[in-house]
Amino acid sequence: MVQFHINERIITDKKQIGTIKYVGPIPQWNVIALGVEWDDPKNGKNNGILNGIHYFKPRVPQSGSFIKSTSKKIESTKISFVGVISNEYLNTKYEQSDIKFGRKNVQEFGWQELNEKQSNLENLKSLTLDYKFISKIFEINNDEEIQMLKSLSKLENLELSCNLFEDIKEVWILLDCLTSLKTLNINGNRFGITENLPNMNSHVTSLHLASCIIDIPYLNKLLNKFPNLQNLNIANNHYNDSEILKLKLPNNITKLDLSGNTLNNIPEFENLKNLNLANNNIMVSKLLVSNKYEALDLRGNKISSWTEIDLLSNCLQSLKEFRVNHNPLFDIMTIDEMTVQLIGRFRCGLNDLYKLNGSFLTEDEIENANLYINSKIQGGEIKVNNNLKLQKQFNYKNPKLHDSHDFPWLNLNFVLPETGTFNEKFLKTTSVLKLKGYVSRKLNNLSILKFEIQSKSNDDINNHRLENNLSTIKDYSLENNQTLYINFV
Amino acid sequence: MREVISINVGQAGCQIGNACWELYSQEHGINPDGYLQEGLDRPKGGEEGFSTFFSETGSGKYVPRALYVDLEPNVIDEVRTGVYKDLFHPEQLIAGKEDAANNYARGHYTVGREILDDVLDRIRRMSDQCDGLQGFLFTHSLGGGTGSGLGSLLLEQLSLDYGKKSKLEFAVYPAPQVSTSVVEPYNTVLTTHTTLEHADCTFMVDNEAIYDMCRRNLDISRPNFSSLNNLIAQVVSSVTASLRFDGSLNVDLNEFQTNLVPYPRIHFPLVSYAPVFSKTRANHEANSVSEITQSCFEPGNQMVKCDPRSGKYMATCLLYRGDVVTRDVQTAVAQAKSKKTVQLVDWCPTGFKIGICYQPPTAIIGSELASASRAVCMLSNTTAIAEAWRRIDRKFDLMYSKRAFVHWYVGEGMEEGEFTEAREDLAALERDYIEVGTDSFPEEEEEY
Repeated sequence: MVQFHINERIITDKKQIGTIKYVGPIPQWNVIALGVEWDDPKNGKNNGILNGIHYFKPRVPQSGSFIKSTSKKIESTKISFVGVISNEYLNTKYEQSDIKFGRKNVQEFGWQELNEKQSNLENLKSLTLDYKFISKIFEINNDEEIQMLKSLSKLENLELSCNLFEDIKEVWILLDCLTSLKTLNINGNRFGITENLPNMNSHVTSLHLASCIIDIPYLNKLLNKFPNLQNLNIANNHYNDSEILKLKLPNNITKLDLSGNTLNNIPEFENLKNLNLANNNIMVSKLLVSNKYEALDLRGNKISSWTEIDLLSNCLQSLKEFRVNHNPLFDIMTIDEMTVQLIGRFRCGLNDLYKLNGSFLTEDEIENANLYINSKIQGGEIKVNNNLKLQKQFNYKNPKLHDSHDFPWLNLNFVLPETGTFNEKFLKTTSVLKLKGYVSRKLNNLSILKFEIQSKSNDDINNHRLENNLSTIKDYSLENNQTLYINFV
Repeated sequence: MREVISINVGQAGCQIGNACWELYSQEHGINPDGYLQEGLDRPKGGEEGFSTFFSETGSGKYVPRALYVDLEPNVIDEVRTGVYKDLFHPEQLIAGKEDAANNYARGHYTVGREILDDVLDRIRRMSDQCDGLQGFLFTHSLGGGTGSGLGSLLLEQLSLDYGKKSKLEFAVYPAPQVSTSVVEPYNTVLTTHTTLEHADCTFMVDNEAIYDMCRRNLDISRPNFSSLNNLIAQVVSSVTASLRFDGSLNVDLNEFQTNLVPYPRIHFPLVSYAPVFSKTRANHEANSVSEITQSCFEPGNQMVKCDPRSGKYMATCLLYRGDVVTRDVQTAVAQAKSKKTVQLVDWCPTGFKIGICYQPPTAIIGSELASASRAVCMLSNTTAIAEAWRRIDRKFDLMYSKRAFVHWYVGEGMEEGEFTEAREDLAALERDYIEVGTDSFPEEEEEY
């Protein structure tokens, strides 16, 4: 009979991994029951509660279930890291397999050489050991095993995702011995917590901790040990906004993957260039203060209006790569419509946004999209007022100074030298000639050649004369209630 | 010693060529200026494999053994001004002034002829630099004017001038999603007819299949040519990996033929590649040897849309790359066998080969494809690929029954008889596939 203990990691024959949170009897069964918190919540059935009795509380709701300790589903083999290495790399004698398709043998080429090459551990630069049931590093921790680990001196890339480690200190043993390691992937391991982390600075530049559910204070401590880190992956860790606020990133990090968490807002980090926020619950409600992000992934969030997109466009000035498909906003429109509107609303080009939703933008695409947006704006279907880029493009002025924007006329005040004022409303399309005609009638049919109209007073150096009789008053960008000065010549 | 000259013809050919050479340079540790990356004292992947695709100049610069040919200057100008402009010698880039206007006849007879001597001359000069040329690797589209017309013309000429050298093709099969012209079926049928006896082995890449892969697996909402080409480059790189790196299977161009081509006309292996998934999904997708092996047998990972379960395999090569151990591979192949999706023809004595290339795949910078520590590329000669020919023949018939657009070809001096002749040849090809698929003995009662 296999003995189980609390926090033990188990794997089933279907590669479902879980952590034992309860070992003991339950009234329904006459064998010992195991309360398991599954890594993938889909495998869970409850919250560790049976018939009103609380047995354990899983960290993720509805990810718990009970299985019999005698269940055949549980794989009982567990192995150490050095064990895997010696089984799969060192003590392998090549044997031709005798797989047959019909009457034909499968022919194998080069596998013997591969075995020979791999049996010299110093040749290995990359190891992929996912789902290998590894629970610890050493079997018996003798000199031979340490030597074996040290001979992996050229290893740069180590993948250990979805194994059965129980304590994070095992990872520390690895980091201690593997001095050239650059990329470490321990996705899908749920570690027990050792409070005292050893003093060390790792050379690892890329660390993957997806679905490890390490809480933020502990993660901060961990990250302290990785001063060279450039790329961090903490996807699927159930972090929320307030937790992420506490996250302290090492200085060199430029790339962060936060996909599959439960964030509602876009977090801001200094120095970060590349941020992945896919599959969160993000809605954009305010401008971001920092705007250094060059690559942003917002797929599968809760963005539901163009106003939010405009906000992003306004604050992310250095954005170069952007992904935003699979948001509710785009459900109702075609892919082309989405793409064209996005291109129109962002500053696109070689030095601006050049990659949208996974494809590089061509100059033709950008030009076409801008033309399309242009026509939509003139047709009144798209409002420019929220988007800085469009405002600039269409010379749009602040609406406060422009409250007559919606009326087709202007109220103009005329000031005569010394003798008083009068005012009148004019259509914006009124020609200057007509305006002068009106003034002429007011001045007892004085010839229009005998006076001139200025949009600013005589004292102003830049006094603008309304000279071109054929142009309209709109062309002189007169504002409502503007004062015009009349001078006699 | 065993050099291979790559010839990229037409817009598609040149753009795929760009993506490929970018990837090759990264895989071998060459900078865009042609010099070695910092910290390397020689190119990655072994001197011999490397020299098949690159030549070294006196100053320590590496130059691809490649030739770019196009009838109009746009794409070639992009190479001349692009990031990789210093990698190539100006002599390697040949551009005409008048384009083929999606017209096979212009590429093959009128406009293409004018540039032919120049191209052959450059090829001659490049082959003179080689110690032991093994052959040529063509990249072109079947639907475009230059790719189909000039491509087939060059292949014809090369089999005259270099009779014994192998000629392998990567051919882009047209798809309506990213189509630029309606006459693509004409061009495809005409060029296939011309090259059928000249090319030794043709790897087809169906734009529709790649397009679907980009949308489904890489979540690119609107794939354009550069998205497609990046993925194609990854596949081409996997096929040529065994030529460029120490490997065990298909280490030279001849071996591709002997392994995959039982009859000269049946030379269109189906290429599958796994894993193809995006960077975000890489967190969740398991990437075990048995899973990537299994996905190779699924239509979603094939470069040509067809259903191999409806056909029979004549030959299959599985080429693994990167981080694998022998035992995992043997288990994976045994599993694939137990799924009973693989049916081999009975008349072929050998049929299923598995090989390894130690070099892991490299991700193209800026590509959506996640970098993987291991990958597998399957080349299989299956009768199911005849579906692709049936599809294009049907489209050809639709237009040709009314002689639509034929005047453009006749206007360039082609005879209408060439259309019928080409179409009959393709019909014969379809029949050939049916014939090789039938068993030579009556079915025996045997466990598969």
